[in-house]
Amino acid sequence: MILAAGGDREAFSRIVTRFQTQLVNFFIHLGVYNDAEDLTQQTFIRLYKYRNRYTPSAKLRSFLYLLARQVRTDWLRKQKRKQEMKERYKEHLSVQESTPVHSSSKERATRAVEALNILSEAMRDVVVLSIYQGLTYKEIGEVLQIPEGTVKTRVYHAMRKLRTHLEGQAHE
Amino acid sequence: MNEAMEQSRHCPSEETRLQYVCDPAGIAPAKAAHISACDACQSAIAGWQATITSLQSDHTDEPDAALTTRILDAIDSAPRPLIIHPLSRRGWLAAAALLVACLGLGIHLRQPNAGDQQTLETDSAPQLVWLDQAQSPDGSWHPEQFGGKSTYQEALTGLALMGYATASPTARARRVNHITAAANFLIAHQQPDGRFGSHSGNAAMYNHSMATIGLIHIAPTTDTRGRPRRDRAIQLAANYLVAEQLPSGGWGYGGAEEPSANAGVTSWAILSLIAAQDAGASVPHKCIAMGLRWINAQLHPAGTFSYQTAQTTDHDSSATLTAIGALCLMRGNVPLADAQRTRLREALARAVPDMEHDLYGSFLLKAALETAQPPDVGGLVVKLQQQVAASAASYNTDRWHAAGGDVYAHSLACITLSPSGQ
Repeated sequence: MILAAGGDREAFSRIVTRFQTQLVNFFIHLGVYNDAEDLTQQTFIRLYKYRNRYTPSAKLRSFLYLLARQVRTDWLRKQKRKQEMKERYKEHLSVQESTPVHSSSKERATRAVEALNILSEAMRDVVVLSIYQGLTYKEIGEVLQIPEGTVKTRVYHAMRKLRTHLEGQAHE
Repeated sequence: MNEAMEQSRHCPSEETRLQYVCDPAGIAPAKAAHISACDACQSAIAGWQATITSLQSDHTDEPDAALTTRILDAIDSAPRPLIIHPLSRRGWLAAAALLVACLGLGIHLRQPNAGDQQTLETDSAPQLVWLDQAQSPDGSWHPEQFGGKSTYQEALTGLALMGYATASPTARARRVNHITAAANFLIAHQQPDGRFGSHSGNAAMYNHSMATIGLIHIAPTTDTRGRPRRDRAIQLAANYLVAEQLPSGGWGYGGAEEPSANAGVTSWAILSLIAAQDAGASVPHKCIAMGLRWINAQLHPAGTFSYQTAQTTDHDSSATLTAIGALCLMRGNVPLADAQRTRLREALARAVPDMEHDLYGSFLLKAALETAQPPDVGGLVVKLQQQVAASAASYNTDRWHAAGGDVYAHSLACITLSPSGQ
């Protein structure tokens, strides 16, 4: 990252190759299906923009997920604004604009990802970062800017809820 | 019963048990020790693991193949900062210094061909064509698709690159895209600590060393634009080997985590470090010297090598280990007594007939014979090449085929059938 911060394109390209799949899946598990790759692109652009703010003492992975969460928050805000606009002007629209559903988005919204929908935003974040992205509790604390103890409690409550949900599904 | 009740009274909370599954390094050692020994905790953990497995059962989505390019293009079109940071300047100076060092030293990766040898001019083109066709779009070769084990993907990509490196300049030039793609795959799969690949166990050090040597061998072939990137990868790879050296001077299968060194892995590590040093990488002299001392200590009075037991009575020598051990001593310019050198050469000459159905041994023996120069080296190499050419129709009888599959076989046949000194 130090080399990338110094403007080394090759070093930056290695970071992109190394983390892009993880980031795409991070966004998918957080419920962003069609725009996962766009958001991944925006995250890397943001990383490049802020590369001089990165301090070698911080883990690159934590820094990257911190940016990814910000990108997703911005995306959610935009989605909300879009939705509000649609609601406000729907009677003026002659043709209802429908959200295109990419064929792969259906495939992506698989059983496990759907199970994550039962969780609150805060709980979903810790589960995705821990179970799917493999971050340590300390790293998750850095990304979400919460104490490690809170991460531990949230992961536990979220997993208990998911376990009950999955067991219920198995009995249906 | 009482013991079980007593144990369960000290069980950590359910939150900690879950953390033991999700983030084991974050648990206090005493609690971790309890959990690993307590039946009640293990049972709870099995339940959490089942939930996690069920959540992770979804496939991982692979992004669009063009995503990297899209991201990098978007970054290229982003406005550039006008301030040059001191760190950036230092980085460029370091890269420039490394480049100058490489140019000054000459990126000379092989020993010159000593002596005028008669060798069989066998055509290795069919093997090269096979490698071209078997290469995956990601630049690597997937051994499991051709009868090998997926754990050796990086090693086999390295061997394939060594195969390309022995081709004629024209044949190499025609394959620059194949070579560049393979090099890029290896670089993309280099870990932050410099290791190629992420497999542990017996494959780890072979993957790393073979990938390192493969990358070094094709460095002069590939485009100059990517050269600094490859030089940096080679330096990182050398740093990893230095860090993984055992206090004895040797290397073990899984790097520093493996307590005992063995001759096969140690020889590959030394050959990688010597090649990296020749390519301009900075390698501590002490590291190579210690490694060579360890290998030299394994040389049996009969001029042979086994995995570890040079001085014991049950010295179970192997022709392959003798070849790579000898190659190491020669490439490292270890001073040997005349009698020792003679016995080593005799052992190498004796090994030639044993190499039928052993492409790996043939590849190493050819390199060792060319370096050690026993009498009639030309005739010995011709015999070796004839054996390899004859085995082309039955690669699956080769002793290492189950591990490396056809990628291994075609790569090593390429190298061994190439004209001597390549």
